[in-house]
Amino acid sequence: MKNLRLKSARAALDLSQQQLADAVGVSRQTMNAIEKGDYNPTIKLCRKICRVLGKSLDDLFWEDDEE
Amino acid sequence: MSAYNMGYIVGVLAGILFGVVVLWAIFKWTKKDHKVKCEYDERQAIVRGNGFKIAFFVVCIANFVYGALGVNSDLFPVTTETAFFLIAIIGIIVQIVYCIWNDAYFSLNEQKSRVLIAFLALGFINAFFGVKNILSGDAFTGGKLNGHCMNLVVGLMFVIIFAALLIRKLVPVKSEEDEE
Repeated sequence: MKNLRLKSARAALDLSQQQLADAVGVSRQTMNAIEKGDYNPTIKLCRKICRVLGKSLDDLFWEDDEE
Repeated sequence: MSAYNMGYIVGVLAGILFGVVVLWAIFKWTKKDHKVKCEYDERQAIVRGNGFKIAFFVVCIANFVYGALGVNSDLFPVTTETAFFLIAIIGIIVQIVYCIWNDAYFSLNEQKSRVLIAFLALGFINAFFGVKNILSGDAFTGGKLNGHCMNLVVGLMFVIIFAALLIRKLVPVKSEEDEE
């Protein structure tokens, strides 16, 4: 399942996938895979992404049942 | 130990030492941070692990097939010791192509352009000596390819790597639709 909340949070800060990937220390392809839902990041990477985007884990990665 | 044997051993050790120094220099030159070690992110590490797993089974199967059919037979046109080197190269190629296809070949701290330049140089040098050995006949023993053909095989390996990189760049993969 695509992570649209991550994508919109990134876009809100006007960051490209490459810029966010550099900020958290992963490749752009990995960031793309996370946004596409092809890769589930570890909690460690989730926290790094949240820190850079100024969001909580719930904001970006928690999936409600109805989603 | 005769002087000839001593000279041979010193020569081999000097060759190995030279190879290690050259590889060390190439590793440092191709890194953005000039470290020798490659750094991969967590997804790349998982993909590379899967690549090693697949390559391991390919090598096992290839060894089994060669052990069952190739030893002491003329089915494969290579000597026994060359066959095992070839099987190792096949395993390396499988791992590399799998990683290239899944965007886990280049590490985070590598400069792609420098890696490609190094590969081009290594591939060309190996291909040159490989062709030279084939043309001079040094690469054949009793009509079968011997260890001297390995230069050509390594040269072909670099051709396959470049082909895989090119195809990966040209052929879009569904999950890799870029959304910037």
